[in-house]
Amino acid sequence: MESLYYAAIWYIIISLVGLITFPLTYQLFKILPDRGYSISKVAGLLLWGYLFWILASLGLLNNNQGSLLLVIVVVLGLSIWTYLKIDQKEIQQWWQANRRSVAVIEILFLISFLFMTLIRAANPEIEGTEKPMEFAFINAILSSPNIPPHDPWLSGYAISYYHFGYILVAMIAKLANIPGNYAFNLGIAMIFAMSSVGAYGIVYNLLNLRSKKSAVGSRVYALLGPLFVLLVSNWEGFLHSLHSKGLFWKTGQGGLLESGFWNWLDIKDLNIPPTEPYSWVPGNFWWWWRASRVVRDYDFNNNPLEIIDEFPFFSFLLGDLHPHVLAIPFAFLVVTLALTIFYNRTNAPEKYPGLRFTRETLILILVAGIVVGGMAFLNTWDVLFAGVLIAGAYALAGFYQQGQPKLLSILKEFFIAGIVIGITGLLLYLPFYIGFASQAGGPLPNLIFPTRGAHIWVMFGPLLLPIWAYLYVIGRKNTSTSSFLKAISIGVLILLILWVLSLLLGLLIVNLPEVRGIEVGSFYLNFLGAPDIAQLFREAITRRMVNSGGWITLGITLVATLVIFIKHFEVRNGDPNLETEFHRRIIRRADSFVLLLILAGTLLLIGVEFIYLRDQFGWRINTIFKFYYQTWLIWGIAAAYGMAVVFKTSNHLGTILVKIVLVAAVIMGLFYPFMSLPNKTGNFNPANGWTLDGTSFLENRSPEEMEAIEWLRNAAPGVVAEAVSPTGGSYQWPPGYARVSTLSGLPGVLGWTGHESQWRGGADEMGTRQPDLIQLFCSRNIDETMAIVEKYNIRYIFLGDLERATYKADGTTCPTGVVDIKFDNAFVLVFQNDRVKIFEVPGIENDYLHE
Amino acid sequence: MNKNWWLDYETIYYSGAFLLGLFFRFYNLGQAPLSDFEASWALQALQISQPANFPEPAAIGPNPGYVLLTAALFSIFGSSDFVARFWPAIAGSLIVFLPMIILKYSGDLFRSQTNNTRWIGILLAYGLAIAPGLVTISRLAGGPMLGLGFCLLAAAFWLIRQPVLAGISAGIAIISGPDIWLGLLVLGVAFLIISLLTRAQNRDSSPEEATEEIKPGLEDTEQILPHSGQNTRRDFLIAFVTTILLVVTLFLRYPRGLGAWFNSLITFVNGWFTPSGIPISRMLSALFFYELLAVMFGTIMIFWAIAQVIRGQPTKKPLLFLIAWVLIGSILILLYPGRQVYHQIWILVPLWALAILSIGRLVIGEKINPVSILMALIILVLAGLFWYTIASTTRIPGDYTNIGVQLAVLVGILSMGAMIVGLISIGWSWKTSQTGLILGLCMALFFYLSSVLWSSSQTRHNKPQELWVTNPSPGQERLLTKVIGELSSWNTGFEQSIDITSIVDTPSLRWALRHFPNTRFLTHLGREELPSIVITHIDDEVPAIAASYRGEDFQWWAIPGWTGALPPDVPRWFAYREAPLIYDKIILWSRADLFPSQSLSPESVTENQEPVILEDPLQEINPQVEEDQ
Repeated sequence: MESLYYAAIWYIIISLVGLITFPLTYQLFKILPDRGYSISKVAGLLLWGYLFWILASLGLLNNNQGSLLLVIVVVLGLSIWTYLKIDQKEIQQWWQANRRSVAVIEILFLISFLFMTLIRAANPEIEGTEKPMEFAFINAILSSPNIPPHDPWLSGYAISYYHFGYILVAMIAKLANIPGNYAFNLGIAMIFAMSSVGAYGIVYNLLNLRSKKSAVGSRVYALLGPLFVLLVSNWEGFLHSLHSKGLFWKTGQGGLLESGFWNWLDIKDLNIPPTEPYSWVPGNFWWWWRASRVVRDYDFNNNPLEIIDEFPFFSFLLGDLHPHVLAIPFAFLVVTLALTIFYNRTNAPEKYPGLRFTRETLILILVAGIVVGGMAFLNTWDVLFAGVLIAGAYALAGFYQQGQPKLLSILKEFFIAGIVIGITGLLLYLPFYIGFASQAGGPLPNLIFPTRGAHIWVMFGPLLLPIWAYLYVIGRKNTSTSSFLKAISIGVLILLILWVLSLLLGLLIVNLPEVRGIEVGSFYLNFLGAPDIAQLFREAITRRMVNSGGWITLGITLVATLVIFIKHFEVRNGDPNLETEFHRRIIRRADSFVLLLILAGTLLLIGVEFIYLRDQFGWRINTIFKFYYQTWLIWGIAAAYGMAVVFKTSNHLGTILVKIVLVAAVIMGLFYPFMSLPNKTGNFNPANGWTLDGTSFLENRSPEEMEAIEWLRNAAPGVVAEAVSPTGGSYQWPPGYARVSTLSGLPGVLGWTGHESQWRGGADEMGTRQPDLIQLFCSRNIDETMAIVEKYNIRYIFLGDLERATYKADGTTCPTGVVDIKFDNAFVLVFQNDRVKIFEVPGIENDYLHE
Repeated sequence: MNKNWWLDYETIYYSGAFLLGLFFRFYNLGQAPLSDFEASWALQALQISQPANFPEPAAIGPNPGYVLLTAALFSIFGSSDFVARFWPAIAGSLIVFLPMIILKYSGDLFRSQTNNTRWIGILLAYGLAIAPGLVTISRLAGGPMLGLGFCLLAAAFWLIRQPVLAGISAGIAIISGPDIWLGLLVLGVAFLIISLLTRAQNRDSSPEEATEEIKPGLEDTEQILPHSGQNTRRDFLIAFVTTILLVVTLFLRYPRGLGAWFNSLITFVNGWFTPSGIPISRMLSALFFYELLAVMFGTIMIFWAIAQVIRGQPTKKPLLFLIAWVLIGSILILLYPGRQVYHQIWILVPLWALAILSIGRLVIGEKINPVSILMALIILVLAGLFWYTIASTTRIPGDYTNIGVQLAVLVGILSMGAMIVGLISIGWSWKTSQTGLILGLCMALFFYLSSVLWSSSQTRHNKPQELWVTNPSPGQERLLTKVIGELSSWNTGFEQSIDITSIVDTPSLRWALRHFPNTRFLTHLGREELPSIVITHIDDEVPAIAASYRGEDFQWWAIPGWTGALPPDVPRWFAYREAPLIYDKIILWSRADLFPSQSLSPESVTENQEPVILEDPLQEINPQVEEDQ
């Protein structure tokens, strides 16, 4: 019942937020047929969150329900003021014409929310992967009296991570008094539903802008948006099914199964023979995990390196509330804003070459700053994509607006818009950057990790096929030899420049002098496993040639997109006042925008073929992960739109065949969700019953610890000391390291050290906490113990099984293990059950006032 | 009697009522120490007024209006119990002016601006000045009086077209705390219902009748009050928003007050899901036993008005609104799970208005027969006898030897009253008898009310048994601070310099010790700490260091044990306000070396001696110290 109640409250709040914000989106996205209704919930949440966060960060508000409500009222006031300025007749007309679309959007939101709520209720457990980290953030935000929230795993510090998404989720939870263990799962359901209507809205708007003839058709075809973005998955699921059925395997020498196909495909687990009984439905544990590890990189010595290539459905299936998931609906807000900017500028009555400081421009820059800056705070990796897309849309609009479009002036506008929006976003979110340390360490050349074509196709096939079909449909009569040659030249030039740049960058790094005592060149070579630069370069060229399928596929996509752009460019240059009849019919502005999306996605994928961003791992695990994800989102939109355009074209043999292929591609992409869901949810028969409580399973596994943690939740706030893993402790859950701080929201002395190190780009802040905690638990000397207690301002010491196991007598660092009598003498036993003791440090002054 | 002459005297009467209201609200205002409820708010005000003295930035709860306005006073006058209660007291006093503002300055807004109406207004002002519930809550720091007072003033100013004053009052009211939302809900629902009824009535009656009934004298008002509707709304809004922004941010010095303001709404909403545990019987008892006059005559008025409506007689909209306000308010307050007794002040003003209207309808304006006056005196004597009999019944707890005789006397008194009413009706007229009865009852209830007021408002005693008291004041707060002050003077030469560690952490204790800057509030005493003074709860384990300390216990809380009360306790409570009390104590541990000729030797720290606890320090120092302060 609690789950139902919380879900209903959550749904009501986010719906109200959308409703409150709609007058604002109505004005802002006036050019769009749906007036931004589909994105109003996302925009409302962002605006509410931004205002609350910035006011609280500046010390003007506390992190409490009243402040949250106050900001909602401010948004409401702004909205009412905007509403009163809108011509009421116009609103009525719009409502009459669009009420069915509004109804469809609301129904889609409700169905999506219920769908994901049900899935989460069938497997709500907050366990595995980085879920404990995300849960810890939410709980820390809920329990922090102020913003920025405290770091649950490093007491005395604020969170140093792009945590805006967690603030947004925690805001709703706090306002509605929903505990973090429910908020975690409801947050996922909300993000899914907002993404669903976000994708729907963009496709709906694009189709409507393209042709207003069939609103009904647009409403139906727009459903392809959420389908492609959120449900259609990569083809690994389909291949896994074939593999599980034993297809393409034959018995070879010695009776062993062999397969040239699966070996050639080289996807982990699929390149080993299946086990009997063969079945279309894969049965091995967490088989669906493999879909997020399709791409494989190998170092110089052919040792595999793990690469993450998630896609939205996988994320939602996993139930991971990670920043890249939290950012999905906001990415659609970026696309919507880009579309609006594009149309606004192309519709402008007068032609102007660049930014002018009118009131509208300033509002737009401010909004773009909030949105793009918000992306950086939500998922920093997305800021590039967001900024480029909005600046690209602005510059592309200049192409339409200028009588004689010049490539250089368009590029100039692109950079000016990008810089202005970037600086605005930076300034608007300055408090975040002041306390933010990152593991990002600049670009590295991708010399020996070219992605194989097969992997690109397995990963993006369901999207690439509709995109290629769409490019073919709109480009088949719209190319000329000159445009084709120009496109090939530019495409090849881009690839060549990037390749040469990566080689030069590699050369530069290998010859870098010593930095902070590290021979960078040798370090880099050692990391790749290469003996010297010559052999590295030889391997780089060889691999680039052998594994050419990837960049050729992307090159074709790039060239195909460029051909249409260039042709359009030529037409505009030739006759500035008149588009050809063909262009009016086929190359609409909506198409130009979709081409921009395709181009952006292609460039993102091409980019990671040559350059990647250095992090603590050293290889391109995160760069692929994040950039592929962004590409999936915008290509998903493009694929949905493209498929709709293809299906709207007249039927003749060629297009019929294309349509059949596309449907097959989609079906192959839907294999994964249909087969993975029963596996993940235990055939919808949850072990702990249907619930949205993400920690209910812990009540059975470690009831004593949960009882103790519940006690802590209600106790006076303070720093808690618990065991820290000698090896980092990450992913050891449940109930693993950092369990107390994670579940209670109280700041712990130290949590997952590996993650802290990632978030802060090093271990400086952690200092000697790890050995100090050993000392705290193991030392027999009370004064030493008290010194550590004072050093970290510890209030509670948690003594459970994990502490006793971690700090057991080893004769060296912990000679006699945990000594109970020391704690009994030095501290006050405030809680005890069969397995857990909680000690409170005496002499700590109570907080002066609680609200 | 010319108009100017009357105006002068009317003003004088109202001023008299205001002075009376002021007296009851301000007399001995700082006498009782702040209770936990009051201290929790006053401490927030203190923290804001003295930010340098506190390590953490102030975080205030959902009562920003009171906290920030009081913080401003603390900055000027310093912190004291009197200052802490100042704003509610002044708001409660201003309520007295409501009848004057509405009746005297609204022109002919209420049409029947006759002498009768004027007298009713004056009587109502006096009623509001002495209504025990209103007076008690006016003396409650952090209570809902700020909201009620300024909300009603806002309405009154709005009615007389003073939009700026209305906006300022409304601004203060809206930030006054969670209870304002309950009040607004009550008023809103009442207004809605009356509007719907009036609309329905409008449809059924002719347009002329409808207009006359719905907007009495509005055209006259328009002439008297020149503001146009749009300007009025604009001025009101500007004043309203400006007041909120300035007050809730303490003149832009404390912007977090804005968040606290909205916390009040959250707290109110949470009240619908979090029961307070106050039984309905206590709510009704508080209303009946303390506001008997208003309840009795207000109820008569309600029934009369309902009968009028049923008979199809024209009934004025303001009267219907007052009735709806009382009825809907009573229902909503009783239904509200987070209810407190003090929430009932939201229905006291209309209840008193109805009661005075009722008395006015029955008595005022009629020529009074001397027989009625005589009869009233007899009724008064009988009422006195009635009360005396009840009091004597319960004078000695558990003594029921004469209970039969006393019950017979009570029945006899009531019978005699009934006989007198009957005989006067037969001999003279029902009207004479009715007037005499009402006058007599009014006089008797007035005396009863005065008695109730004197004790319930805590002007004289700190009585935890009073039903309107939210939670009682600490029993021996003054004594505790006096003892600590003396210890400090002996040992440090300064009255407030001694170091104190308190393991008891309650707002009232924090407030009591606010002038001792070296006070720490801990959950547990630190290792090897030997502060000069340690304060523990009577139920806490004796501290390990107790051997080196001398302990004195102080009665801190006294909570009425209503659940343990027996039927005979009820009349006793009625007569003497006595009821079973549960006492709770704290212990003041003074280090032995603080006393002359005592020293703190290392042995005394470690030896496991029995602690010395002085029982009942009141006996030693001044047995009447709390009673007579």
